[in-house]
Amino acid sequence: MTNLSSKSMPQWAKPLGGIALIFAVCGVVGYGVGHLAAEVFPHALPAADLRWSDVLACLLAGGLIFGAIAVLITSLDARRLGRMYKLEGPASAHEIAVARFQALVIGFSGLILLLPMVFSLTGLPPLFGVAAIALLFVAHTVMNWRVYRQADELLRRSVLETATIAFFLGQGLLFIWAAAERLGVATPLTAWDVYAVLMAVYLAASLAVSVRRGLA
Amino acid sequence: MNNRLKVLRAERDWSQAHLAEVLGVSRQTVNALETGRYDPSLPLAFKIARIFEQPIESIFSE
Repeated sequence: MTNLSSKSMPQWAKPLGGIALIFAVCGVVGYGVGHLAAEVFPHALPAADLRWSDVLACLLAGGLIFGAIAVLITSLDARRLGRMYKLEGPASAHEIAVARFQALVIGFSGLILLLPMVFSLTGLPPLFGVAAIALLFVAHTVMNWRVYRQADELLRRSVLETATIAFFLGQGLLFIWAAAERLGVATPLTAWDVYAVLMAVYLAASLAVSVRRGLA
Repeated sequence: MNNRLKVLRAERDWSQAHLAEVLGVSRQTVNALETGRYDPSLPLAFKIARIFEQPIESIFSE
């Protein structure tokens, strides 16, 4: 049965199937967490004034954390990790270490993305929350820099291509919305709204580049 | 761009890991090069040519 299904599925469709599965699981988990949060904090959620951008940020953060956990679990089996990276044979100890560190950075990104909503819900003093997020952001930047320093030219090229696509798409979307807002046909956005959309664009660009370069 | 990397590697009975090590890149990069998903930078192309002792144009073609 396994052979039949793997033969019938085209090569390009496999990453898309995985992505669809991740979104489906994230949707179910997100619904569950949201339902639980509404039960536990019945007054906090309305008071926190959650917007569509909070939901989008939560979904993105959930996806990042889920992806990181998936890579960490996969890295427990060197052969499986090797297959995931389309390598000949199992992943080496160095490749496993690199994959785990990258997964940690990705998971950490998701965690930081969640914090503004979490701090808002818990009623933490805003200045304390911003200071904590800024500190974690500095730590995250150091981790990202280490990933970039360790990377070879394929990964660096992928980072550059992702940044280029995200810049032009993000810039374009922002311009269209800003023009519509200036003409009075679109509602004003907050910095958080803009950031959530830019993050979604960046992750979509990253996914597309990774699939194209055979990294995903 | 097409390349003969996989054939040249097979002729020498080298693993992807060995080629990746001598080129100073990851195995994913070797795989991406061999499957045509990535065209190398000029310095990497020169390095590949040196390692296989062949001119660049005999390894890479349009």
